[in-house]
Amino acid sequence: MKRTFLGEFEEIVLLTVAILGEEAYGVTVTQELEQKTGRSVGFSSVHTTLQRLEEKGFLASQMGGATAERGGRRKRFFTVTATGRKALVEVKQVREELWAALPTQTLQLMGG
Amino acid sequence: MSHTPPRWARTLLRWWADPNTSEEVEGDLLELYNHWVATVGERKANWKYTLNAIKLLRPFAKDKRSDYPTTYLYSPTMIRNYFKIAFRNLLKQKVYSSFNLIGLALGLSCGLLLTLHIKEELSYEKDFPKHERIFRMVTTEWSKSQPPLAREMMNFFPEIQDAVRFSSRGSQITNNGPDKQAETSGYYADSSVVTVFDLKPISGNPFKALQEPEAVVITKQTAEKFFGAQNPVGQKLTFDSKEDLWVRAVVDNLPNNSHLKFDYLVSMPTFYQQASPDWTSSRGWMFGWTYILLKDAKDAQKIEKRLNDFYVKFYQPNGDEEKKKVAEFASTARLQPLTDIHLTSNLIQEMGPNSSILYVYIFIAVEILILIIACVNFINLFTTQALKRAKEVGMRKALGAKKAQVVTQFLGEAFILIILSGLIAICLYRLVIPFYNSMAGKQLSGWEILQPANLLIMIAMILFVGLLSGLFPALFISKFDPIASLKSDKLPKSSATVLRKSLIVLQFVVSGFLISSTILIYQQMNLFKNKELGFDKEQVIAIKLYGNLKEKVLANSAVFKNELTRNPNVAAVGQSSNLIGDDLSVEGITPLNPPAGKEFPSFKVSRIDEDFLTVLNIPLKEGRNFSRQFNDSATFIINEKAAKILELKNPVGAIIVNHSMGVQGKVVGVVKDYNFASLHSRVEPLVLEYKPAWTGNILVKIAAGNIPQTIHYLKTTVEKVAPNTMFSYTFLDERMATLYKKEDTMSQILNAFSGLAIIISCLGLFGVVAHESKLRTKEIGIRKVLGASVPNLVVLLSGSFLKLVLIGIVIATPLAWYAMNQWLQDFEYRIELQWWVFAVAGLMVVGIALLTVAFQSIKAALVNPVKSLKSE
Repeated sequence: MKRTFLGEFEEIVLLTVAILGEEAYGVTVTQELEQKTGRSVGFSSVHTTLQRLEEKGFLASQMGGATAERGGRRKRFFTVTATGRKALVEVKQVREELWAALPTQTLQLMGG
Repeated sequence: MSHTPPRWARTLLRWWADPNTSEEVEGDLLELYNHWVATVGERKANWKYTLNAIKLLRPFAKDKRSDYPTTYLYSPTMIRNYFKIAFRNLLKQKVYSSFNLIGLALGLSCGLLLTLHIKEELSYEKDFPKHERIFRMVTTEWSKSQPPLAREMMNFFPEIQDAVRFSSRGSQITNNGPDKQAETSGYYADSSVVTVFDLKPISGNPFKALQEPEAVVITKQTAEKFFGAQNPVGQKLTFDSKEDLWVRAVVDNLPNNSHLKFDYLVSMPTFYQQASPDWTSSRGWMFGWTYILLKDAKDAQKIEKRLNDFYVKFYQPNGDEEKKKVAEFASTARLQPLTDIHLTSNLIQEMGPNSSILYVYIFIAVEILILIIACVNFINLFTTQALKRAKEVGMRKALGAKKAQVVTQFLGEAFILIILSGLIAICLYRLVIPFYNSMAGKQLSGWEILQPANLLIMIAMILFVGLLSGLFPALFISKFDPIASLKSDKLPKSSATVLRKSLIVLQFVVSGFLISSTILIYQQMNLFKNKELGFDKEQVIAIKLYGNLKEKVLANSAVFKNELTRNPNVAAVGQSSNLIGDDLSVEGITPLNPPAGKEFPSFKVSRIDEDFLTVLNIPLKEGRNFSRQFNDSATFIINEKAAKILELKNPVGAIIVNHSMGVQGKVVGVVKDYNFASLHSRVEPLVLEYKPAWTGNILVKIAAGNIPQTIHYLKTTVEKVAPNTMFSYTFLDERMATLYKKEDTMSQILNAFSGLAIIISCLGLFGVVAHESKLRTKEIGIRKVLGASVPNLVVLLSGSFLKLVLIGIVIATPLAWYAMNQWLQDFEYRIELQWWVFAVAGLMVVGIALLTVAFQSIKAALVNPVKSLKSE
């Protein structure tokens, strides 16, 4: 089965978009990521990742309405596509299978 | 939202970010930026913004969504609209437009005149095809050189291709038959002149002709003067009624822009026939001018380095003493490029008076100043006018005009104005050129302006002025905020007020500078005209002695002089070899038995008769005048300076030796130092020798009043003595005025131009004041209602502008003081710089500015407040 490869950062960004739902665009994604992961995320890398995910077909986007605070510039809102959802689910499944395959002893050692 | 991200990063982003996503990226970043400012502070936010912006640059990304065609910004309709609006505005603001046009046209025509003047000055000798390779052999003092020099140099230096010698024949009366006579001047010249200076033969073979004895080659102009339509070749010309020469060829006239000027050339073999071999082979006689033509102009330095070797061979010195002298002489010798002669050469016995590079610099400076004033004027008026069109700009922008379009529109309008004024300038130039030519002694032709090279200058000037003065207003106007300019009822207050004010100051700095310089130059000219010279130059007529007349007079001068003095109006008659201001003969003179090893400078020598001092009223300090009573052959009168340099304790009775002439004689008198040369230089040592036979001028002191009758009497007497001679005379004071012609010309030109400068400045001031009073119409109305009087208001309105003018003058004064001080260093006798000159100049400028400003302010102050308060 051919699987699309999803990088770690891509995965988180995709997940965040999914979390934010209607409100996902560059700024919110960046801020959400920073809050949730606690690491400093560059807007430029978020933007590039969003672009790449859209190119891969995991995300779809449309322009929103203009607002005054951004100097009249529109926002580009992202939503997760069916492919995107499938990819996320797949990643999750793989993870779970892997976790399940972990020997109990080791799991205990990790403090799980 | 008081914080904005760094502008350059924003620009970078706008230009180079991926065009497909640039809108949301810019928006996102801006939003983030505000967030950062709130959380981590502005400094860090700036930094983060920049970093992200740089990371987001995608310089090679292409827009994938260009579905919509962009409108072509410069569509014909739009351009037509621009023109329409431009002309409507021109016509609507008649006063402004005409002031603007006139000011600029005046400036441009001045620029044109001066450019062509300077161009002509710099073009000297350039019409000779070989001008770059021609050099004149000179020393640091002398322009002339020795007869055998040319041949010897050609033998010694292989780099020299050819050489020409000129020896002056002075001015002579030339006739072809009794009725055709005129004064002409010419040179003896080698035949190589034809090839070196590329003289164009018209008939005959000038090269061959100049190798034959008794042959003369004349210019086309001379040929027309003496022979009309006849063929001159083979005809006879008589010089000074005694020398018959045969015309062998005719050459084309020389270019005007050359220091070389002649009516004819006589072959060098004729000179060798006339002069004794002792003279023509003399290696110490500065007989004429030697020009050499090099194979390559770069060899000049090589030759200069070897000049010492050459002069050693030339003079064959014996002993150390002589060798030292030759080395000394060689160190002063140099090759002077032909093209340097007109502007930089001022040596002893030049072919004629040359111009000076200093004046070219001054004219360039004046031209630039005037153009600056005109530009500044244009900027001021154009900006003022455009302020009124803020609404138009706002509307255009609201309808989608880009900044670039507005800039183009206004720049275009500026260019329309400038091109129009350029056309007016050409007409003005055409009108004033005759006056300018007579004033500056130039031969600029009116239609010369239409030559391609000059048109190019004109276009360059228009482009330069246009860009300089149009760009600022255009940029300024295009910056108007559409919302503000559409909303406000008032005319927008110019944010460029400071700039406009400083421009006005600049204009008046220049005007003040020019006016005070003009006054000082005028003073210096007056000093020249009125300085006590040590002799009386008024009512002295100088008659030049020519051929027939000269022979008759010199044969028996007493009779001729008696004949003249029979008229009661003739006070005294004297003779002299040179007139005041002429180049005098320079000779080596020492006391008898000079102290060993002592060097004496050379002396100026003039030959006179016993009445010369009486005619010019030159006082004797001691001793006596020459007299017929004594045997005065070989006696001298010297001036105080000469007595000092010769170290004569008791000059009267001392014996001095003239080595150049090989005579010695007694000093019989000492005259007070008088200025026998121009006032540029100090009085030099002078020796007057009693030798009426060598004189060439008759000086006649006449009584004031009835001068025409006296002149008529002189003329008939001359004709009685020598029939068919030309009677050529000048007034001594007029002749002396020509010594200062250069300064006089400059003074007149500066006068005219400083007048223009102030006119242009005032045009600008007028426009700006008019605008200001319009802006303040309501204010004036309210002030009047509240009880302000008209004088109050005039002072209020004029005051602010007069302050600018005053600042301008304060800046101009030290500049003018410094510049004029430099200029005056050139003169031995100069005026003192006095403070009141600057005060007068300042008052003049203020006065003129006041007139300009007051007119407008009074007009504004007189308006009925009811009207002005009602106006919208």
